[in-house]
Amino acid sequence: MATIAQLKGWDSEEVFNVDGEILNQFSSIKELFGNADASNSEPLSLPNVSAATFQKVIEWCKHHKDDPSLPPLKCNKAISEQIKDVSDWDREFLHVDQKTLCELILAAGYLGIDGLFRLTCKTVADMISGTTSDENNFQH
Amino acid sequence: MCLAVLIKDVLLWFMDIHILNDDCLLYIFSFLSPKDLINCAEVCQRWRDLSLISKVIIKELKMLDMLTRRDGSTSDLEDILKILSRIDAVFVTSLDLSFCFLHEADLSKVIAMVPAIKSLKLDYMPYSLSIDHIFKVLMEHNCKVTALSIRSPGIHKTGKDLAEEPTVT
Repeated sequence: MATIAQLKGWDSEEVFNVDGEILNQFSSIKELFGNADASNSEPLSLPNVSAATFQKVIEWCKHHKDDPSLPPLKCNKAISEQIKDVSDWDREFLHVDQKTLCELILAAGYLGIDGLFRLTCKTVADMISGTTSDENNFQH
Repeated sequence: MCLAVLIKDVLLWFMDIHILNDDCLLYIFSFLSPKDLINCAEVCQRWRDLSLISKVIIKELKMLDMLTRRDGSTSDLEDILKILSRIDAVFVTSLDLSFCFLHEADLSKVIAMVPAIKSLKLDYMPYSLSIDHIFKVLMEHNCKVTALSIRSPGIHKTGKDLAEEPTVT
């Protein structure tokens, strides 16, 4: 598919060519581009996303481009039940250090990628559950 | 050595997680169990504020599962009140205080936090509670309790499930 947006992270000059299928998942910035071919214009710098993180984000979006759109977020208990099943690919994908994971959350939140945002937040929540019980053990 | 490594890990982890903004943290907190949420509130002031926003609605509360630092010599009252203040206690309809270290005189403070209580369990509580006092407290707070369970090795009356008694007012 043709490149319709050129984006780059804040920390490097490396330009990522993003096609329509992936751009569609960036719900917060996709309107900026419309349908015009932007390959000749200046690449857009993303202030909150580093190049390495953006690389990961694109990798995730490529793998999940055919996913059905998620139901809207609801702030109740049901959330944790909604995404109990994490696929093997996702688990492998999220096998990163905590700093990267936190940056992924920020990037997903900033770009408006619901699926990735939910997945990463859930992962951190699971980690917190583990950490606090460790702390408790340590106190006993 | 092992301890130092653990502390370092925890510190590093919290440094990373603090780059997240409030929205992200709130969303993460929404996945946590009430018990974890209460632990998170102890981390720092910012997390305390945030965990207060993401109060959890639970209807059935088993206190024993929530208490973390149990010490037989003191009362659990402080911890119980803390837990009840961290959740939306007005939605609690079923409260299980079994095995909690709670003095008779403190029961009133706990019941005052859960006005919608319908089912109350006070099994095997280490400090003795007189049945008269329990009824008095329930009536004081206008609680419409339909199921009450008081089992105790000390008192002879075991398995008291009173469906009729304190449905006053």
